[in-house]
Amino acid sequence: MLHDLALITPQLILLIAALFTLVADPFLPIAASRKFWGLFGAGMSALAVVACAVLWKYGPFEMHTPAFSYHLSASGHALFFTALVSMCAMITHMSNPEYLVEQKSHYGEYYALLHFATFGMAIMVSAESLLTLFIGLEIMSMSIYVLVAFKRTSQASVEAGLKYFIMGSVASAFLLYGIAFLFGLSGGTSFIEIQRALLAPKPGQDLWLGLAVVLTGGAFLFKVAAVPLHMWTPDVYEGAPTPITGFMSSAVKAAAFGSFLKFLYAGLSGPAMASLHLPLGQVLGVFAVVTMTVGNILALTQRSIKRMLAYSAVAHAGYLLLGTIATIDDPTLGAPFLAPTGAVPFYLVGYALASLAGFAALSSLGKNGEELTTEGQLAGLSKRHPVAALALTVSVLSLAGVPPTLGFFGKLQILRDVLAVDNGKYLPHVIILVLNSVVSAYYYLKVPVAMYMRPDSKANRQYVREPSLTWAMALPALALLALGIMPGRAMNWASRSEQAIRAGTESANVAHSYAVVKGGGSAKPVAAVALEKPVAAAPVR
Amino acid sequence: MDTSIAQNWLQFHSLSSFPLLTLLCAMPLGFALLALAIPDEQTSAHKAWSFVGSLVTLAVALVVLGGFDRNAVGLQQVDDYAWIPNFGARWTLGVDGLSLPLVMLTAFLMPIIFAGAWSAIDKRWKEFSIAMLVLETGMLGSLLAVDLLSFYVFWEIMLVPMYLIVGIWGGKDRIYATVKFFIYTMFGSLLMLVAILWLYQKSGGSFALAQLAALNLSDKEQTWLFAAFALAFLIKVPVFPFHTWLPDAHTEAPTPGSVVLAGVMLKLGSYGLLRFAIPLFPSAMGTFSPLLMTLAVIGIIFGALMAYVQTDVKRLVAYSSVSHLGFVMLGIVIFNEESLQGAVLQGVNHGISTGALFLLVGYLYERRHTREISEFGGIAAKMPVYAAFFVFVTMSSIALPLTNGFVGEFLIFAGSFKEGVQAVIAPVAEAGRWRNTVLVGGGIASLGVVLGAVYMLSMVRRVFFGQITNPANKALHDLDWREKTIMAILASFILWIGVYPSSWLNLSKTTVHAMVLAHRPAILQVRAPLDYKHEAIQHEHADR
Repeated sequence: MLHDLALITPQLILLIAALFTLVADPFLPIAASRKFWGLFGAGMSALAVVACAVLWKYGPFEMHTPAFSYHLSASGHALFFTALVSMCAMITHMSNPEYLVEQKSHYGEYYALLHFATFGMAIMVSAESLLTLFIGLEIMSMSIYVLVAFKRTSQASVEAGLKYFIMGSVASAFLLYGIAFLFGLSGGTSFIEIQRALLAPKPGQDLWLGLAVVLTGGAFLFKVAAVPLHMWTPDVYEGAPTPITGFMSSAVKAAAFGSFLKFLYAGLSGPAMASLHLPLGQVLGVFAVVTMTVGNILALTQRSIKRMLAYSAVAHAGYLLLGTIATIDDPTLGAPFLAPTGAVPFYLVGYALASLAGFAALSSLGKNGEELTTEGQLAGLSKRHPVAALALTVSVLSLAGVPPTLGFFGKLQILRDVLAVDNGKYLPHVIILVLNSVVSAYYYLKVPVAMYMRPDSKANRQYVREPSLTWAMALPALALLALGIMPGRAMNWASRSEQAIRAGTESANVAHSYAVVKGGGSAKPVAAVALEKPVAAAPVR
Repeated sequence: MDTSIAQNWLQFHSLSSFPLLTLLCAMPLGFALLALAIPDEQTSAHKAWSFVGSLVTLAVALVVLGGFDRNAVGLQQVDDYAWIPNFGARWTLGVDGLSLPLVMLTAFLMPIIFAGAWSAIDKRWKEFSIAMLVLETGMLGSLLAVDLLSFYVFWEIMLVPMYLIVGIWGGKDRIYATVKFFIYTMFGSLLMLVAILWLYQKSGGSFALAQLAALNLSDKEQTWLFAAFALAFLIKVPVFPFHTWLPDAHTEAPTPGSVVLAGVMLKLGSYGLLRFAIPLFPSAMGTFSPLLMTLAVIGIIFGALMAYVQTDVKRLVAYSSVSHLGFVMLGIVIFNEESLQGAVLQGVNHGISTGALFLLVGYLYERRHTREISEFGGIAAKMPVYAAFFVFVTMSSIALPLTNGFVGEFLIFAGSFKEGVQAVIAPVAEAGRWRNTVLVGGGIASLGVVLGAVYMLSMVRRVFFGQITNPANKALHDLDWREKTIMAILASFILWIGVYPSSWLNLSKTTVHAMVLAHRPAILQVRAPLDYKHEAIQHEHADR
């Protein structure tokens, strides 16, 4: 039990932060609460990152270290993504207080909800069973629904919250329905049980498996905002408080892709998928291409920068979906194509940092309950607030994938890995991605053009300038440049994260083949053995 | 002997014990970072700091030049470190006879540009000097990098500062011009990136040029990959019909921006073709030779004609660049020793002469705030020194003997006619299509030299000579000491290269020789098989 708890230290830290905030806030005077909660939140999130780092370095290294009887794990994958979302939460906490005071929405619950959301994500990405995954997803989603609607006086914010809530609930229902089918097929909810069951296909299961894949896949595609399930994105991104938009665009996207990868890899692989004749890679390829193209084209015409970045988030979901093609193993081949390079996790680091820097900079614009984030209102920002202008510029350059920012290497790695699949089978997709980048450069450039090249106007002279907010935009921007010049280390982390998922799957495969060689036991005893005594996979450091 | 030269030209000749080239590359960036610490409003401090920064960079470049062995084949003073291990990307910088003239040109032009900018740039000097210095790092890095990923990174790093320079300090339509420049260039280079990754995959995980050049590629692959590389470089040069961003960018850019664009950045296109596209895909170069030849010749004539009808002096000079770079492209496509020597030298020449022309146009603009030819007339009477310099630079631009332009264009034409002349000697039926193309193309291109004289001289006549008709020109004052010094330095270079070109030609001689030995057979084999056999027999005789 103690061992189990130790493995989820980061999650516990986040949970304690959330509960403490909730309990202590009523006792704190308003002035003190304005000063304290942002700092406390940033500190606790940073502590969670540190806890992840410690577990990463000194923790038990079996990739598939399960806790709570196969519900959670502290695998490299879980730790990488927990650290990533906690880092996003840290930056968001830093950019919160001044923004909220200016927008007249400063309440302590806000911070508690942010902690809960982060906690939910941490659970979601560490899940080893579909049930835990679902619970984490719901904790995250519920908190985010409320946070989106947190600017109570703003119609757009409340509308966004309601819209997101209704659509998100439908997606959750789909996911749950899909999970139910998988449970029916395998008799379990943990990834390892599902995998085992799918290794030995039963006659007549194709229909139900297909339904499960469509339902769960649809829910995930909704969460990552893939076309045609992206409709909520622009409204929610625009209506939500700006730091929350940044948090959604960075952390929610990271958590959604993190668990999607895990699900694709650990849940949906093996001979059963092959018998389904579902070319998963090609289906994802179509989604990816459509998503990036639609996102970029719609972003071209936006006047509001927040809305533009929302469509750009859709486009980036497309790039990431293309990246997953290289990550998953093609069920028709039964083996991964590539050495695990971690292209998707690595891309997510760059994307999260760029979103955080950009939205923190946008949070500083506006005063007295008003946000000044249209293209016209950014005019001349480089004179008024040079740090915000620079951070936003670095952010959009990274999103556009211009070296020497981290965004370039993220894109480079995705391009490389996708190109390597099956001797250039996806070359057309790669070229479409590249052309999309050119299109996206056009709208990203509007931002520096407005800030640096258009004259300043008196009407826009309102902004918040506070040290913690300034750091919230400067830190990620600096990280984008520093990691853009020396990306090697972050690449290593990401690749270890991906190795962790694979090791989990391979160990299951090994266990199965071992059982077959031994004289063909049925699937059930193997699963039982494995549940009692986790199969040791090759430790990867 | 010959084969070892051919094999070695992309190999490391000498490793450097001290990372001198990395220092050269990082020097401007270091100065740019330190410039962040100087407060915005201290304009003169920024002017002085950036000037000193570029001078120190020039000093480092001179040290590189001092240690350069002009008779050695291969890359010299190489810095080779692991950069991103998981990617197999290395930090490899090296210099040879192909890059050194351009490195020296860059390092030499930057102090001139900064000195010229003292009056041309009137706002936000801090941002300006930082952008310029970062740009210099990007340019030097692109010239020195021989690992394709680091080359690509430097290549793209050039984009952002240039975009800011045109967009912030440019003229009326600057935003349109700068966005067009950015998108155009990015489009070309991203397709090149896909091609680079394809090569990387083929090689099993390396970006090193020498390793990639040794790959066995199918014809189809070569063709497509060459197309992707060439597109990036042809846009940068720019070659007709990819030139449309250039007149806009040049016209809107502030004077220093135009100088650096014409002086160095355009050369990176032709440099890229020589350094990367041709060594990697020689036989595709043979396939594309007739097309590239045609485009180069069209560019020469089209640029000249467009220049002739311009009413804005700066736009005229911009179109003249299209025409001049057509000559450089011609030299590259012909690919024999004379033409390549000419192309490399003409790159430097164009940087000096067109840079000087842009500076001169800038001086006029600072005084009158217009560049319309019709606004002027007879100003030689008021600005005699200015007029003298302008006429002198014009002579270089139209390739008068004893100026640098003559040497470069002469070599290019000598190379072209050498390539094509057998069509006249031998019966036409045997000569093959390629030689006829060269002969016709070279003939048309030489018309471009005449057209160059036409548009430049008629512009000079209309601006400088005759009576002063516009009263606004009566108050014009001549160049001050700073402007005179800058022009005197540039003019002395024009004369130096014109009178004694060997000191420059010798820098690139060995490398060009090795390049021709290494790649000409493969190019010739495709574009002119008969000639290939002929030259192969000649080589055998020579070896015996």
